[in-house]
Amino acid sequence: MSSFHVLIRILGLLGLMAGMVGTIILVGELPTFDWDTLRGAWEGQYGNWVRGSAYAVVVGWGIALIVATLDGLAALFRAAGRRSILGVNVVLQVALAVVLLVGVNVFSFLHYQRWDLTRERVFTLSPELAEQLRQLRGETTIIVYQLRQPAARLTAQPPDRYDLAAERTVVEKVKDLVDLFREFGPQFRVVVLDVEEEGYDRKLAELVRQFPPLDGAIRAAPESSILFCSGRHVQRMGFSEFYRLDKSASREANDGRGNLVLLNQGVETFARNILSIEEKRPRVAILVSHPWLSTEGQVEEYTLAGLRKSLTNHGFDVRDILTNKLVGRRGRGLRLERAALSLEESRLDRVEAQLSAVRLQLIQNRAEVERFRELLDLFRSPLSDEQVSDRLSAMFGRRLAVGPEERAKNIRNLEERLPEIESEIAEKERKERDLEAEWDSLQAQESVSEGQRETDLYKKLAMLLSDCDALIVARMTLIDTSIGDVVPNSLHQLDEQHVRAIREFIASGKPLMFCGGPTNEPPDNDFFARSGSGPDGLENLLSELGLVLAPQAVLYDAEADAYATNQVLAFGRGGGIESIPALEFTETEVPTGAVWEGRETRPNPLGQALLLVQRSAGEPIDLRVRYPRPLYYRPRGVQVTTAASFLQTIRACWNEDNPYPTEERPIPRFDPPKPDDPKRGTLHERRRGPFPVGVAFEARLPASWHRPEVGAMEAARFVGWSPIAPGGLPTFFAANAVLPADWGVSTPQSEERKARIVAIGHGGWFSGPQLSVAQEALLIHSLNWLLGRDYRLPHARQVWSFPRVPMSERELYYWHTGTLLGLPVSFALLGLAVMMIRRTR
Amino acid sequence: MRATWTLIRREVTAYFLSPIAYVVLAAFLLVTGHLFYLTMTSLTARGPVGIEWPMRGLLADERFWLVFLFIPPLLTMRLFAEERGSGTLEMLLTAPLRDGQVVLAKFLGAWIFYVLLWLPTAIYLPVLLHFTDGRFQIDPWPMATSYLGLLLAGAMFLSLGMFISSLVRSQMVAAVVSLVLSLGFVLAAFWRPEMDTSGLTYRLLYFFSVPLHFSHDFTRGLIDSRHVVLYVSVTVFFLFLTVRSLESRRWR
Amino acid sequence: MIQVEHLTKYYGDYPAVRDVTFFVERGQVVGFLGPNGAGKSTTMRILAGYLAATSGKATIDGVDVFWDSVEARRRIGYMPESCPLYPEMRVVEYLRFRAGLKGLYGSARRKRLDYVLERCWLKEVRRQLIGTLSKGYRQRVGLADALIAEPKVLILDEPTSGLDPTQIRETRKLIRELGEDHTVLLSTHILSEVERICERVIIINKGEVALDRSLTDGEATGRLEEVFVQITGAE
Repeated sequence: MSSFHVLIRILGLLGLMAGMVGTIILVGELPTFDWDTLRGAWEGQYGNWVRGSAYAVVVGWGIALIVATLDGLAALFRAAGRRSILGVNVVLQVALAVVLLVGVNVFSFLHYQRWDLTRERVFTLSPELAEQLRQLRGETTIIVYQLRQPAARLTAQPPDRYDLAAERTVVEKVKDLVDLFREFGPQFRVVVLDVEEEGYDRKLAELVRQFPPLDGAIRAAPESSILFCSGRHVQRMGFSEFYRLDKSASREANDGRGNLVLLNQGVETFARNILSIEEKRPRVAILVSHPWLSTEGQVEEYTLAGLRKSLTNHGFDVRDILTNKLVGRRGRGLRLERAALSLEESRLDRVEAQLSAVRLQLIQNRAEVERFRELLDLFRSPLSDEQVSDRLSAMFGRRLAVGPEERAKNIRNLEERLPEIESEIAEKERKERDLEAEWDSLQAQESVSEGQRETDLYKKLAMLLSDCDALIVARMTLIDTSIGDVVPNSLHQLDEQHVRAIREFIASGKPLMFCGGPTNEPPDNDFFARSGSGPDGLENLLSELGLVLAPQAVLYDAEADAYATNQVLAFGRGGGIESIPALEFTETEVPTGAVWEGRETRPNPLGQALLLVQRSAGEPIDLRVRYPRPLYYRPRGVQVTTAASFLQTIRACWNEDNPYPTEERPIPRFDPPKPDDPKRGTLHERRRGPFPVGVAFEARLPASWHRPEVGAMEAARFVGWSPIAPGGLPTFFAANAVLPADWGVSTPQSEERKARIVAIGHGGWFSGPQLSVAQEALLIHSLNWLLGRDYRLPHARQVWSFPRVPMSERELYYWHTGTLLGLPVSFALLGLAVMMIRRTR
Repeated sequence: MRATWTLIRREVTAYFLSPIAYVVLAAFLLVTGHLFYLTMTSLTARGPVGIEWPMRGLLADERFWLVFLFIPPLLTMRLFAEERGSGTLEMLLTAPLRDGQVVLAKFLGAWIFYVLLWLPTAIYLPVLLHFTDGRFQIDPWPMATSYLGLLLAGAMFLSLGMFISSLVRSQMVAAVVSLVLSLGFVLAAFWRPEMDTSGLTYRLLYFFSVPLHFSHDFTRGLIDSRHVVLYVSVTVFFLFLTVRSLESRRWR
Repeated sequence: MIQVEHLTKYYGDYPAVRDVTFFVERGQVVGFLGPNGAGKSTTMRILAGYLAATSGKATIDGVDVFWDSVEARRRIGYMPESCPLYPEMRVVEYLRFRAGLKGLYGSARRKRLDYVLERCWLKEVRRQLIGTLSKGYRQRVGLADALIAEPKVLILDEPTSGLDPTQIRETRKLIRELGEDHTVLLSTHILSEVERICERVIIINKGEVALDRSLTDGEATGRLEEVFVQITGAE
């Protein structure tokens, strides 16, 4: 090679080096790598160093490229002189090969296929699901939010290694699933939001800008979750809803050696979350009797604020409906009128009352000011003392004499007081304006104004319930019988109109959760006797569906002990609740020892789900209430195939007809029933626990509920009885063909409708400003079951655990040393042997 | 053709006649043995510890890839460099064999030895698959796909090593250069494992980094066409280049 | 049998072989004579198929060494100057391997193996590792390899270099014997060798054919040396 040639090549190499150095600097200094930043760097926006590097990059790579091309061309031409065809041929061939290689791989990068060869097809979505997902239009963003801390525990224990291992494993599975979805199509965009990653805040801000509701969802997330965002909607699914840890099974697995057992809730739940993202949030109506008992009540023991919070966090809308309106006072108590008010309406009433009070005060204050001004003018006037005294006497109607001293003093007084009053007035005027504004804004709400116009109770309640998907009725009753802390039943009683609206609500297929405590009221008490008690229309309604509400309250032996040892007060509000034994979940019928003999029944689905939740925690659930009410499901004429009870008390308790202390029996005590007790042998016989205090069932609606003519016919049976028409009017009609023979007859097959009901024998189990995790679990799972969203209930259909190979210590040892040492050593020896053999002739 | 087969036979025998093969074999089995032990521990552990995909225990480990990286260069460094150095290449190229046959035979010789290298690991199978009651208790398919991936990925690295060997005269240089170039396929995986998996950067990284192919797909029973296409196309490409390189020798 | 026409080979810009033309008839033993670096090895390599000429044409038994390289090689038994072998193989293994490469199998291979082992006096060392053999024996193995497939043409590059006198004599005797049934083209820089073995001599100097003369027309041998020195020394 000539020296010139060498020089050119060295120049090319230098250019290459400069280009590389420049590129390194640029990559390090520039925030991002795109056209704009590059141009900016060229123009010196990022400083001289960067500018120099940009030049180096362009010049360096340019020179290197030119030299390479020239060299290549020269080589080509040189080759052209000799056997040119083949020489060029080779170069061309190599170039073609490179192009082909790159082309094939680019194509494969863009269009590829994955085959899942696992035995259980772990990495493929079912075809139906795939089909559904394919229908999705628009982009869904899936955010994997890693909170880096295990989920809120159901018990007070700190997270143990099972929880941590579960978290780690589930994160991996989520990532796999998310990859699966990403592979599925471009309509899924996946973002990982890791709290411990740098740049987390920036990422979060960016995402919140795109999806405003994300902010609230993330704040409310109690555990690492998967968030589905599309348009304006955000749905959250906790990791534990995807793979639930079964701690009890984990501890017991492999003959007690332990394993990690996770219950796969199925990718269907995941997919449904995506598909239902645009769905309206279900709305839950909560029927309460008093503003204190509503979700905006201010008193801690009674408020349902925690309920609202939990429901909202889990994707439900909440509407309070108050059944009473305050219309005055009656003696010591309040006079209430039955109504159906939304919270806003109730607030409107309150605002109106406050407004009128303020206005009244203003009138009085203004009059006072007037008066003072008058007096001041009088005292200041040039009139003589005598004339002033005369005027005063005329004003006040008695003889008043003021001298110059008193006059001055009065002026000073009045001058002092006037501004005070004026400022009071100003404040009250401000308050008046605020209240008026509030009043205006409330009135402006269509629902409020519409509601005010509707005076018919039934229509009002029906209207309020029409856009709700579920109804919760909460009746807190007994709180502490020893001190008579009881909410009177009269407060909770519903009007006939109320009941009618509720009946139609249920008849339209919507579910009801009834939380009602015992209705036992203190005997020999005037107040309660006056207000009237006994089962109200709603309880009768529920009896029609087969719910039997015992007229008793359950007392625990532990409570009786406390009474006996004079530690009654410690059991009061806020203290001692821990000594009450916890309730238990169950999925089978609770033996009652009564007449009804239990048959083989399928387990209660809600109970099953809740038992699984318990297994996740690895310990019994912690749900304690005082004075629960036993409930039974005994429908007439229907064979029960699925167990109804899901919540029960422990054994050490009994059902007490009168939970209040009396003179004869100041300490409650379990007395076995006497032989002549009429209730003996029935469901309500006095006996020891356990008692079912929570039932969930699907009731067959009586035909009269949705076919009024049936009800009419039933009623007509009692009319027009005569010896020739023993069945009353209906038989008369049938005999004379007045109406079709089957009109008004209810048949089992015709239009059978069902409704799901959950009843819990306590009205205050979810009161308080914040629900515990156990209470929340019970609430949300019950609601999911009620709304027919069975797919959201935890199940154990797919169990996952680490594979295990049973091996004894000895076997393990032999395998270990055998492979670790045996194999390499044997091959090394083999090598030596071969070497030796080769050496022989 | 039979001539090719003769050359293949000689190549494979040559491996077994050289000490380096046994060193490689021993070191390799030592590493896999250790990893197998760790996997066994996970499969027999107490408590919430375990491994879901046993082959991952062997093939997703950094230690494995660090050792694996050395093997193809060590196996291929002698393929052409040695013959060049001792002059026997001349004898090979003056035999009535096409250049393509020579390259193919050498490649297959190396590849067959590579397969034989993996054969002893079949001993692990009864444990890793837990064969009882006439059935594999652990899914055997990931095992099959892992081995398939190993065969193809190995072919790729071997072809790369062979090409480098055909370019240089010294075996040492051939080995080192092959090692460095192979790094390109491996290093990317250890750079930022927790990166966001939706970006283009990650997708490109994933396309090239072989350890990720294994830890994500092959050891779990998934076959991704991208990986297979990459391995096969690169292997063919380097085989082609090696043939051209040999040809160009005649033009010197 | 061997036809070389205007063969040229450039290593980059350096011409190793320039416009070389000669013909070798069937059954002839021709000697390539020339100083070191004259281009003898290069020409032989081109004929053997190891290198490709820059221009020109060469055929063996009518088959072009460039366009039909594999066929041409089948007709050639080539032994390069350095006689490279695989030291880890035994003699028989090596020869069996080479025979396989050249298309010999089964009993035919076994027969030829025995023949060349006999012919090249390798019987005693047949199971010895090539790495342990002396240079003389290695040359014989190389020769045996060249012979093993019964090629029409033998191209031997400095077949006696590095041998001791006894070995030289024996090798020359062997070549003379082989010359009776094969066409032989051998290269050397030893005049006496050419005079003893060959029928014709081609003198190559600086890549060109300087002399192409038959030695059987009774020329005085001493003249050859003069000619050689004259040709090579003048420049």
